Amino acid sequence: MPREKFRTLTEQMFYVLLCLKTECYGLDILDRIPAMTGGRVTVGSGTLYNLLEQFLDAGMIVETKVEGRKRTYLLTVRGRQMLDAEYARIVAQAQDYRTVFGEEA
Amino acid sequence: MKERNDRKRQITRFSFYDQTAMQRHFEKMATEGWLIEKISTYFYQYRPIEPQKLHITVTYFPDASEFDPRPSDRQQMMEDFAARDGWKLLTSFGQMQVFCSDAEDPRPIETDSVTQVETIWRALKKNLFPAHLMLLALSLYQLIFNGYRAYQDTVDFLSAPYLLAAFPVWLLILFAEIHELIACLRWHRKAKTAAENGVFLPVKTNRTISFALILTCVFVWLSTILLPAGTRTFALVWMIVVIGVILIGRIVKQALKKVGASRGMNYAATVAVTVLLTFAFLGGMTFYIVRFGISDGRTPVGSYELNGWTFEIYDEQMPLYVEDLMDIGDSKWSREHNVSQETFLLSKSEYRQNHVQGGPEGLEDLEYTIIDVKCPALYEVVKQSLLNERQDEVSDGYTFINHYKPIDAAAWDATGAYQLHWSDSILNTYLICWENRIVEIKFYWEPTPEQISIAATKLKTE
Repeated sequence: MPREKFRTLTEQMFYVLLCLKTECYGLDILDRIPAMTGGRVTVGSGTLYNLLEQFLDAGMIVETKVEGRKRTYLLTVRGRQMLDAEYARIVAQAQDYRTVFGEEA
Repeated sequence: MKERNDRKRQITRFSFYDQTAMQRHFEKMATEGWLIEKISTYFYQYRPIEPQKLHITVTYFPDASEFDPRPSDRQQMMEDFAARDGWKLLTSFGQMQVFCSDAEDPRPIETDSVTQVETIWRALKKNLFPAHLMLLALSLYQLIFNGYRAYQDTVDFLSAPYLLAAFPVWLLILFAEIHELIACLRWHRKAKTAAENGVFLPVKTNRTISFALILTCVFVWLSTILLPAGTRTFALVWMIVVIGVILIGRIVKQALKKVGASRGMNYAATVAVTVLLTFAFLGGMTFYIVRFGISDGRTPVGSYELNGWTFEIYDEQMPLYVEDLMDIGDSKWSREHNVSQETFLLSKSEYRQNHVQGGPEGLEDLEYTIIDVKCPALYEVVKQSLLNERQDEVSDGYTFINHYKPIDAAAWDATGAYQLHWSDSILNTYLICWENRIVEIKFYWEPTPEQISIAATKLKTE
């Protein structure tokens, strides 16, 4: 069964939201994510644009400045809650891993 | 090197949302020296380039419309994002944009299959679903309308090629639409699940349905050629009108886009022009038909005046003439073979012989319809339909008689014979049933047994 929309976040959703803890131009996110993850995660331009639109629709981010085609975004309380929920899920997974493998982890 | 203005066109061969197939195809065309530069409903247009390996990506912007005068700020923002990664916009068509990159290994425009599926799904819901639902509703309406017509006038329906052809066409469209909608819903369900595992499941182009629809259109076009001359002209004019209205609608839409009219205004104006033109053409055709009639290819041999009206005189072949039944002297008649329509199931011919002037006293008219049933399984259906055309009517407790009653079929050498009871009279209108033929005949006088015998012999065999 596919998951309910935004109940859990994909890796790219997670990092896009994470970048928006502070106000940020949409275009700059394209560079911030590889920098933040050491190049492990990259987000395509189409994916970034569509994610920003979907996050806006869901009230997870807001537009803080609109200068024609240049817009800045910021995480909302709801977006932060989604990030926290995802973080808790990842931590729980890590905890479960440690429980199974103990010190091997 | 190809000429600068040399352009190549191909018929659109993929579903609007089959981005994977389109990307592959456009990349292949680029290696052959053709770069996609324009996409429309029916054509891909390419410009010549040096053959090269390019990366091509097709994306969708769900909020875009083909009525937009120019890309919105948000759409241009997405293009800016793509440009940041070295992707150049080649063309856009409605919700679709096509980008290319000549970098060896560019960062893909789409990197998250969950988001990609969600975007296509939003685009489908905004654009494709309303169109499919409208066509689905139209085909359902046409099927119900045609079904009711078949029930009301079975003989006319089964013997008219254009009516009979319309039924399977609308049925095919109905199935195609249901198939498309189910295919979209199934794709979404499967693609969402696959996207969870990082796999993007593309929308597939269903060529079978497309080919079936094209073949059906060709079949309908061919069937119009087989129509009688007058109806064929009418059908061809109608087809030209439909194509003309569509073309004019497109011209209006493009012109308004050029002058920068808003999406809403362009949409409203295009719809208004299309509807007005359709009604204007319909009105014009109706006026023409009422005023001049539809030429059916028949040639009158004269005309006469009666009560201020002009009637044409014909001298056409008939299986049974009044003169076969009585002496008509030197009287003048119009012998008409009015209707002749035929399908692989049924044929129907209507004849009428009218007395014009002269001759001995007591000359009366004769009219009849001959129906040949080619499919034996339909015989009883057709017979019952003809019998049911006459129905008693009850109003305020009073019954108005109007029905056929069985009579002795032996007089007609037939398997069944019926005579019409109307009001408080028994009319000289008969429904006669032979093996594969049913004839409804109206004598304007009371026929003698000898006349019935002659009529039966002539109508049964000729």
